[in-house]
Amino acid sequence: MNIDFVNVSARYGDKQVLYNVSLSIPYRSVYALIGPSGCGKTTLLRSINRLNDLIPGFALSGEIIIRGEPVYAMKNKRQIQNLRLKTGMIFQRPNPLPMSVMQNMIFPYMEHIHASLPEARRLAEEKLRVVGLYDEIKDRLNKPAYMLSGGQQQRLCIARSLMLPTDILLMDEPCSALDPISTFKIEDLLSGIKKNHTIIMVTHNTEQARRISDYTAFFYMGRLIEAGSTLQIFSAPKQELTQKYITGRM
Amino acid sequence: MRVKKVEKFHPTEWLMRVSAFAGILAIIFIFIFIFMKAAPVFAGSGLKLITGSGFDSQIAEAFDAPADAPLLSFGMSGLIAGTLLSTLLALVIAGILSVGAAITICELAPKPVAAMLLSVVRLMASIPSVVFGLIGAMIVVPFLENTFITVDMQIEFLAFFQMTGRNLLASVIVLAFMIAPTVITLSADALYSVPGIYKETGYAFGMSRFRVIQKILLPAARSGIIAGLILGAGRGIGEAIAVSMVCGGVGMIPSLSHGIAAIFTPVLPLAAAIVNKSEAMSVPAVESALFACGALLLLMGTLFALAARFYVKQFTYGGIHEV
Repeated sequence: MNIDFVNVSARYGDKQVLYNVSLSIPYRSVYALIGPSGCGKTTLLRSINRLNDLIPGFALSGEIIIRGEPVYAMKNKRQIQNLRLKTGMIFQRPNPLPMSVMQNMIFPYMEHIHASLPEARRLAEEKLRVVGLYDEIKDRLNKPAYMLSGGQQQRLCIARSLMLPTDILLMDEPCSALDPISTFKIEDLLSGIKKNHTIIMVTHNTEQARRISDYTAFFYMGRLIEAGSTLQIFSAPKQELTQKYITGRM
Repeated sequence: MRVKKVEKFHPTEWLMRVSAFAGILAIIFIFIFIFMKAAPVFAGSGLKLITGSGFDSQIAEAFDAPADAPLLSFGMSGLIAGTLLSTLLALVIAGILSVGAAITICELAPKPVAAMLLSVVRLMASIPSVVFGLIGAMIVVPFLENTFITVDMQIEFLAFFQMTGRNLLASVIVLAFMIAPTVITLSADALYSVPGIYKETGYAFGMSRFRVIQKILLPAARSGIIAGLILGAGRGIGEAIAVSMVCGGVGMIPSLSHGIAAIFTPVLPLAAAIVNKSEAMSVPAVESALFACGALLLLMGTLFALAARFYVKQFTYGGIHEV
């Protein structure tokens, strides 16, 4: 049950951003995508749940296969919505909706699942405990989510995506807007979530990739330069470019 | 380095201050002038001005009254009812149409079509109101008369009023089309200013386009849409010429006891009354009565403007909405 990228090329209008990327992401692992800005790693990430379809001019050739299903062969909107539902996404900036903390938690859940309100609230509290947020904010559950700190908001967003039946989590530099302590908390909880989720994470922080990922792929100028276990990439990279990037000489 | 000396007197700064104060003074004087002119009728009618009725005949009597015994008692409840009813009904119709149009422009239509639609809407806002009135009088009024109003109905209601195509419904239709551009423009602005990340968040949850619009975009744009409706209401309350051309010109209060036919009651909103009765303005009592109409309008308009300010403020400071 891997996520397989087969010859993926992508373009926005005339600008090609990915060239023939082929990559296989093992199930229930933490996979870090690293590389300098503009190398196409975010595009690759957002292609997985077809969120790039919203951008006019976006075109992808090749195929991404998830749970044995070719994602870009999906024509039916329902199928795509179902794919997105099962694929959680954490954005660079925390993205709580303008509602209370509790409403944020139960809103996507109630959108998709027939459940009573008390049931949803109970599940929400459970998921807030998973991300270690419940004890911090249990008296502020009905306050606007914007009143939480950035790190708390990001953990709220992670908890929110756990409300849905997700088994893949896409994270687009989830810690780049956060302080070191919040970053540490999020990294810490990923090891727990990993037990039943495949986590694909774009990061600019090579140290973070080294700390938490099982596998790492290095991208440069829209091309996959090297992919392999994190240990191998960071201790014995095969490509000179990778070596330069992880040692900060690029 | 030589530091530039701070000038004590800035001519431009003073020019700005003077113009600002001139604007404020002008508004204060308009208020004072209108209330001074209206004072005789306010004093002569007291509370009956708002509760009493029979404005049309009172104007005629005041016009014929001898100069040494002027008639200063008027009842404007019919006018106030006409103003509120036509504005509110127009607001309901315009609101539904406008929010739909704004969603189409912002979310559904392809970019070039949306740009075209938006410029058409802006153009609509700049059509002079008398043109709306003309279209109303030439198309809406005959249409209502030929389609809905039968001779039997006219006979049935002859005891109450003469039923023609010029009635509350005609005013509502004309007003709705006049209010719509304002509401569409403000709603579209509000929808455009919803952060794109909210929309992406919704799609990332696997929500369909319409659910995203319904559950995320509209609630987030709610204050802007409400502000648009309130500004539209301000325009509806103050609209004179177009409404006076189609309203029927009789200050009646539509009665629910007439059932659905109540929407065919001729009405006379305050602003239209000023236009309609202005021919009789040579008589001081009539003049004062029309200024009283103006004063009431001013009060209602001020109330709506304050409400609009309140909502726009809440909107621009990113007020947090419950969903």
